[in-house]
Amino acid sequence: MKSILKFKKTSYQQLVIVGVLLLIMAILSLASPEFLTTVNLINVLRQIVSVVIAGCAVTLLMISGNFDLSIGSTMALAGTMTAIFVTQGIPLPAAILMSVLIGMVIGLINGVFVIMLNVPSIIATLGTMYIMKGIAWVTTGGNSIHLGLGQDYTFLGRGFLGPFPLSILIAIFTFLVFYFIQSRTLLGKYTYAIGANRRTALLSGINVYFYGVILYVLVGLLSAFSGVIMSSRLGVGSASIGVGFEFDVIVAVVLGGTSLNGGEGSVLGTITGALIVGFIANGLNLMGIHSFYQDIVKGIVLVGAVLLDLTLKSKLSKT
Amino acid sequence: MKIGRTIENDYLLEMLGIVKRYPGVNALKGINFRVKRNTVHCLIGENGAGKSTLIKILTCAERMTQGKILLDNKPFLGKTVKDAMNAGISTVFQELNIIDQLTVEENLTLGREHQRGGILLRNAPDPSFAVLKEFAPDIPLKARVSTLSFAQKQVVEIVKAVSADAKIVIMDEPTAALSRVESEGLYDIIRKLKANGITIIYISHILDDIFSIGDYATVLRDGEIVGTRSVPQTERSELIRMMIGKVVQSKYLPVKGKTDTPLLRVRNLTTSMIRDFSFTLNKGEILGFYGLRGAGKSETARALFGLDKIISGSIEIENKPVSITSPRKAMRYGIAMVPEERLTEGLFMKLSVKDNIASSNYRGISHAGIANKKKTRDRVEKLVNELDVRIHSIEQQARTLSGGNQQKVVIGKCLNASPRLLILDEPTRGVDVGAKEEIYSIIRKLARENVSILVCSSEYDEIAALCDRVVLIAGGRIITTLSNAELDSQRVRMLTMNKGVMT
Repeated sequence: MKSILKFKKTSYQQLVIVGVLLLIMAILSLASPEFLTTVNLINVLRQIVSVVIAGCAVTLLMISGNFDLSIGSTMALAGTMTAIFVTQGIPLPAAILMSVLIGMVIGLINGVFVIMLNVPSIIATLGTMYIMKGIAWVTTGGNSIHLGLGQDYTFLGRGFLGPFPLSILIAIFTFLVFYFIQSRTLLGKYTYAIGANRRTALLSGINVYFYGVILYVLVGLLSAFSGVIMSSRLGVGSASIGVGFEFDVIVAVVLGGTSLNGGEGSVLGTITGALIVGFIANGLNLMGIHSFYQDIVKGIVLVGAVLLDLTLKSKLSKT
Repeated sequence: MKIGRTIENDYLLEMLGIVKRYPGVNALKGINFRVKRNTVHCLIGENGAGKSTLIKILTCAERMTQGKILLDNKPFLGKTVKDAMNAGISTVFQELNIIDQLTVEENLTLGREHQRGGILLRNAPDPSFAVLKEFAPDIPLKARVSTLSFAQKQVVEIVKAVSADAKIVIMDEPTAALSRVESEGLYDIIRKLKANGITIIYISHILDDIFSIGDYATVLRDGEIVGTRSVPQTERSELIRMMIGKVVQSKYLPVKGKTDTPLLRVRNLTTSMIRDFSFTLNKGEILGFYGLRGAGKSETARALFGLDKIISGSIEIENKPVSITSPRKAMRYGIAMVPEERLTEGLFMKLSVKDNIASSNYRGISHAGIANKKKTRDRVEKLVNELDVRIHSIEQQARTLSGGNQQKVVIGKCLNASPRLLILDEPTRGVDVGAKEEIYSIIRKLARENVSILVCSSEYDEIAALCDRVVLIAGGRIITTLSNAELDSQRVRMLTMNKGVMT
């Protein structure tokens, strides 16, 4: 009896998010005839590629009970560094690899500060956020780099593999990898264990420090990579690329049902959350609503969806 | 894990000359505690007797001041909780160390998964699964732990502890949160553990537990061992006598302020934790609530202070019905409470004594939202002097004070709100004997000044020394109410301790 209720409870949470997504899609397709077209849907998917790629890693990090505000800055830095490397004559693949490595180093620094030195994660990553943003501005001198990038530069962001846009395929691949990590690997299991009860995890002999740092490194890696893709899609290296991006990712993760206290959440939920955010922005664009209003709507949807989820949860636990 | 007959009488664990001093308190005064191999050894004693401290030392959660531990006749020199676990000492705590969000299977193998290259192997068998199946066939391996009952979670934790090659399993009041039937199930599991060669240290003060499964019982009191007995050859009454002791330090002094005019009248009060509580409290009277932890004492206090939701029943103050739905409202009716958890609920540890005491009543010392510095200082200093709080300045941080002085600050905070009814939940827990007496005289003085007092305590001596009348409770129900003259320690304890008698 009790277990049936519990089963319903978890599936309810998933249903709520999917329900919100479908509702938004229904409203938008009624409001705008262009909404439910292949061209438009692919356009939306392309726009959320970066959120999905970084969001996969951030989901695991947040399940483990930690937080990262430096995602957007890492993205900006990785994008500008790729462009700078290329203009310096370094081959594109090597440039991308080096930028991603920079991202991993940023993640490592965050991890060391938060996990090893016990600096609260919000403070530590707020610090790296400012530092990395600053470095991106300094290295570009405040300019956008779009000359001398070559034709290949935009392939990652705009190219196609057969009939499929490459960036979307990369996002799907990332999702599959993280879905596997979440459900089938030690890292995934320990992520939940650490987030749910760090002390128990420690007493069970889990190396909570190692896994804690690894998650930050993964976030750094994927934030940098999504920065590279974003820079490629826009065909420009600019320090202003990732502004506010961390909040887009966090909104998607939280909408997707990941608990800010850790221990709960899923990569699949994050994808749903990213789609909700993407569709809202797209739909409002199609309806010709100014982007200033989009922020207001985004905020309302975030708080509304979480509130709905909480209300349903407490109703269910009472029965 | 089976051991031969020849060393059957050998001691598996010997804790010798264990001394533990905390600043101002001698928690353990040179204890010799020996546990025979493959037995269930009960460790009993009242709160504060030193049971937990002894166990914390064994599990390396605390360092001993002096003494040595022999495990399997070899010195045990562990420094961390992990060392103790590796040496085969596992503990099943009251707050279970188990992760709700994972499945039973995942919990059992947590930290020692079957994996290859970081990828979990599906359906890999683990010896612990068979153990679980033997102990509790009704618990599905794939179930999420959050869907299990507390008793089932406890079984999972026990199985986890045993599978980690435990030699000794320590259980800390494991039946405290179990029903009678669930307790029986736990006894069965403990017998099976014993049959598998495991030694169990069983902490409890529930006599039914001890007489159902115990081989030996060691009684602790005030940091010393009163004695060790073979349970089958011992009478219940003897164990109780050992636990209680004969020395009663403080005597009951009837308070003169006591009247027969009721201040508080409670009828059929029911919350999720207590049922049908009816009692009255007169002006200037000290009323005690006595029972084990979780019996319903604190829960009554919480309901009266607006912390727990009242499901049914009525509360009258001075013959007027009142509805108490929040601490704010309770305080408006003149109720103040000294909560059980001084450190987390009673005090702002990082704030000064002055700010702590002032916090309960800024209205009286402020004008237009701005606190009057002089008024604050005067009032706090007056209370600090009255209560004899020993500090060098009222700017001193609360966390720097001793337990007794901290408790006086909490009382001062309550008095600052000039209550008509003061509720004290375990008023002298973690307080040394001297400060205890001082707190008792403060309480008596308040009663003389016509404040009504409600004391919740699980210490018999405290209730006997302070209270004009005592309400005995067990399992969320009132058993009876006795006047101080009718108090008889044996009978009171039998009534509240013996699960068998009350049901």
